[in-house]
Amino acid sequence: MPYDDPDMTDPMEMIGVELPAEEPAMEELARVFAEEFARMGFDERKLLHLFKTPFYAGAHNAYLALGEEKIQEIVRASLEVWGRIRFLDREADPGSGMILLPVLPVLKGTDNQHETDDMEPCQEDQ
Amino acid sequence: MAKVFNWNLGREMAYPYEARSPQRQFAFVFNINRCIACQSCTMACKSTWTFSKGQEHMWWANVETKPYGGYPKFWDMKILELLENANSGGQTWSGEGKSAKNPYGRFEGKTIFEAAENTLVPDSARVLGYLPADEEWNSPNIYEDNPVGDRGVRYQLDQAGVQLPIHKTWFFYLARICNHCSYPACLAACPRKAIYKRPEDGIVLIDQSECRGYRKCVEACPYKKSMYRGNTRISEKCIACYPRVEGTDPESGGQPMETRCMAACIGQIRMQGLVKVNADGTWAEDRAHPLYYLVHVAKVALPLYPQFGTQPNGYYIPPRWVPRPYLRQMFGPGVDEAIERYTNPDRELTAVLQLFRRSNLIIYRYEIKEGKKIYEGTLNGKPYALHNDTVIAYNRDGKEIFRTTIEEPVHIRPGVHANSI
Repeated sequence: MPYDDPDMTDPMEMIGVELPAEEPAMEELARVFAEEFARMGFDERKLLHLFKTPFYAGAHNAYLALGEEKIQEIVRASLEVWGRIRFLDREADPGSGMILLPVLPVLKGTDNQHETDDMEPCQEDQ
Repeated sequence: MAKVFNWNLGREMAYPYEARSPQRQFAFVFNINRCIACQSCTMACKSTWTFSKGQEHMWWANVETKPYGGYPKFWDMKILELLENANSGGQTWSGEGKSAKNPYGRFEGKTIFEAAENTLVPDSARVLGYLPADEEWNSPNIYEDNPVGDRGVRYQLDQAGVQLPIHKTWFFYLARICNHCSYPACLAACPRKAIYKRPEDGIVLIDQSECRGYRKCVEACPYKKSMYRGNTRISEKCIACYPRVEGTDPESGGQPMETRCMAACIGQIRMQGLVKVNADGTWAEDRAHPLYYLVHVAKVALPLYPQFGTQPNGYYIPPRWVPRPYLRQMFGPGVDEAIERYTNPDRELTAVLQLFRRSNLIIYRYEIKEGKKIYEGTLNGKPYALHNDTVIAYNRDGKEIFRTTIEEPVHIRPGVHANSI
């Protein structure tokens, strides 16, 4: 974005964009955040925290605009579907071409005295 | 100019060279609904390819806040305005999507190649575009999400500003890399023919020994993903991490692997693959390929600014909450159908969405093993059911990479509380 005020003599300078901000857009935004994070395993406490934390600008903006009651209703509706399930991942065995990434080695002489030869594959989502 | 078929537009269009399709095409799908602009992709790319002197301004992968931001500044608004000026009121779509040859109907307007024919001089100019000024490259993301400084004070945030501003309206994050277009504008514009599209995977590269830094590619690329390097005086662009895609990167173990920006995505918004292509540039039917399914069967993933005419190979699941006119301009007329299907995903789409970022290997095929129904109710006001399905991903050699199951968790009461009721 520009450092200076717009240069009105520049024919390519953007001078105005209409941004309609109707309530349905904000409610839909809140529903999307709730559903996507519920699918990732967030429970009601975590989801509400997401909306209440100012650092998550989009979710928090919806919280301020719609109010806690409405956000709780949206969160519960999402959890009604996505809170019932979990996604269980199973990797195929290494022979199938799946790559197990090595754990970063710990240098000798540190508190943890592992040798670099001690590298072992990550165990992900077992 | 030659005539080539552009399936994004549902018609033939003018292009400086004859169509020549690769065996497979590098393509990707980004789910914007999930992007939180953590910039992990941006930094993965930066730390791999563009960390050297002279590349300071280069972000082959970037994430920008829309509609406020852009890298370079206002890139999309500027090219849209050039097209509108060249064909005022005529940039429209007609008809309904019918087949893989015209899934979004027919574009009746002018592409950047067609608009160039009667608006540019000299005759050698082939693509409508513009060359961004240095200032437009130098501040990616600055002030998109941060408080601006006092008016007229350069390079300083407001000294009294202690709070991040809140956008008073909708916004979303748009992650972008080179689209490795089927009809690249950069390739079309290069007077030295230093840019080529690889026949094996459709990745578009700049031959560093042939480039002389005329910057015609920088001017022509509507997505502004070709960048000039001042200290070497030649241009550079995203190389699609081709050693990984080839399976020649030591980490890949010989199997085609997704790019660094895809692998780094913690929001699990990205999936990249290699799709089969017909001689006319359309995607060959490959029903069990996850990208083919998302783009041509479920139709939830749409091309970025298809009206530019380059037939980009980056596809986006549009954000549900953004006003439709803005999205139709950005992703074409398929937006309403895409959002409707994504909002209430069917059984197969729910399963395919679980393939995102479960592995760094490129998925060539998926299979779904159906299970019993575990939930029946409503989702967003419509009837909805979830099943105990398992989606299985396979690599190039047809071997299983992983499988993901939708499960209803079983909670076992601890022994000490077993009889507490």
